[in-house]
Amino acid sequence: MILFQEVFKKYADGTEALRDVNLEIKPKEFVFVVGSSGAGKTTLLRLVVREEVPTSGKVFVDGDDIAALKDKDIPELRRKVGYIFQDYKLLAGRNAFDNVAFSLEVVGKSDDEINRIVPKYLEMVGLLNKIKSFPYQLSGGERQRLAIARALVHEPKIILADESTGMIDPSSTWEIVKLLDKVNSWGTTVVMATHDFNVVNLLKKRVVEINDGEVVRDEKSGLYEPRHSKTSSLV
Amino acid sequence: MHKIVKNALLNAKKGRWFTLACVVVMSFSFFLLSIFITVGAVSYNLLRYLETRAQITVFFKDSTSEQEILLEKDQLEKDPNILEARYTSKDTALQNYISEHKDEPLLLESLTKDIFPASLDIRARDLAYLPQVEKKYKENTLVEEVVFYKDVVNSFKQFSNIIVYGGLALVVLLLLTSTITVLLTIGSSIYVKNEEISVMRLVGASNWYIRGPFLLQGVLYGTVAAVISEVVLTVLVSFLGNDIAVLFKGIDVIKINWLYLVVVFFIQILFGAFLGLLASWGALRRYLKI
Repeated sequence: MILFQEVFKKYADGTEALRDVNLEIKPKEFVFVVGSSGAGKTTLLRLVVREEVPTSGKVFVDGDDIAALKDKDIPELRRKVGYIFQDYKLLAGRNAFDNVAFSLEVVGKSDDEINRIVPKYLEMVGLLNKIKSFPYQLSGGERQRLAIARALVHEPKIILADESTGMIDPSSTWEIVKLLDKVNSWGTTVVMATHDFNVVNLLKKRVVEINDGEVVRDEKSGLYEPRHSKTSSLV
Repeated sequence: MHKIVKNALLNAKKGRWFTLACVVVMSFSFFLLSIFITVGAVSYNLLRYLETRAQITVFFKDSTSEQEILLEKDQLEKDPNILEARYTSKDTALQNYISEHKDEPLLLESLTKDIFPASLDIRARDLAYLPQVEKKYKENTLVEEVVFYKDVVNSFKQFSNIIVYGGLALVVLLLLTSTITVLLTIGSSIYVKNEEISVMRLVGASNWYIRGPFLLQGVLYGTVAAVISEVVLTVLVSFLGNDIAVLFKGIDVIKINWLYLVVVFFIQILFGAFLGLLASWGALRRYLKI
């Protein structure tokens, strides 16, 4: 599903975000990407949606070399991948329904389709009763669930969650993780970058640890317990 | 498609003061452009008119007899390069003057035909032949004075060139200002919607869905400005057309009709839309990275 081959990423200011990353994530996998801030987790995820291109090496998503994609093909790639952010990136001026509908609007779905699909996903994330609420009227956990509903409406093959529990309380965190686990059980590949060792340790899924841009650990059913000193200081 | 139109209208509405500034500056530019195009057309018609009038007038000395003048006329008419040679006797010149100034008795007091010279108005088939005619009559001892209208035409040509080219330079400057105003307005719309745009990109909006409303916004400004400018021009022409015609004493210099206005209207709309599109495209290249 996702394949990194000898990927290096160096930014214009000289920062080496990723170094010689080789990684394969198979369909239906649930993978935690752990590592300290600045380790390269976000760059890794941004490469998957072609927000960045590798300086060298190749990144394949669902069989496509992302660097070789033409501009007109990038939106199609992004519809296959749902992206969830730490800061939600909800539109403040739109209510819950409209935030989710927005995802469908931009890909040209009709109003009838939107009216049919959106409530289904809001129900799935437990927000049907908040359908008319604006983001500022929702708690952190509810905002993140709304962001998940927005990411799910395209029925993506992959969900990328970038520190998606970083700004919410422990009980909401657990709800989010259960939700992502449920989505994974339906066959969606989930890649979650996180600092939250409780979540990683409870789920016992595959863990990929990145340090200074390099993959230093890749365990099929791992725990947070970092090998690298920078990551261990977070525990 | 209707979402793109709706978003373009929303963008324009959200930045209403910028929208107003754009439309006013563009309308003013287009209006001045129309005015200078019209002035150019009038000048062209006036020049054509002047060129078809007597191109050389030869005034004869009082001592020259009518027979001598008519002999000159005959010779000219035999010349294949000469289109026309028209004789005006002293009597006719006096009558012409009287009929032109019949309402001004002071000018007509103690007038006699002796103060008006007899003359020949000469027109050549080709303007290039006129200098030869001028030279020939300047050396003729029967002749008092030769007036070559080339100088009049040239002076007018220079004058009209200054107006038309000066005006067009002003219009180019204004069009540049319009383009920059639209560019900055679209830029500000992009800035305001920055967050929305970043979400659009990540949820897989097509490039056209993101760019379309901004491109359309510029087209909208240009089109509305062209319509406003054309309406003002049409109203002006309707009210002032007759007065302008009177100004030129019946010379057919202003051939503005409704067909002309319709054609100018569509050309201006296309031009306005194109200019708006160009400015929006510049703004997208400058401010929107997809």
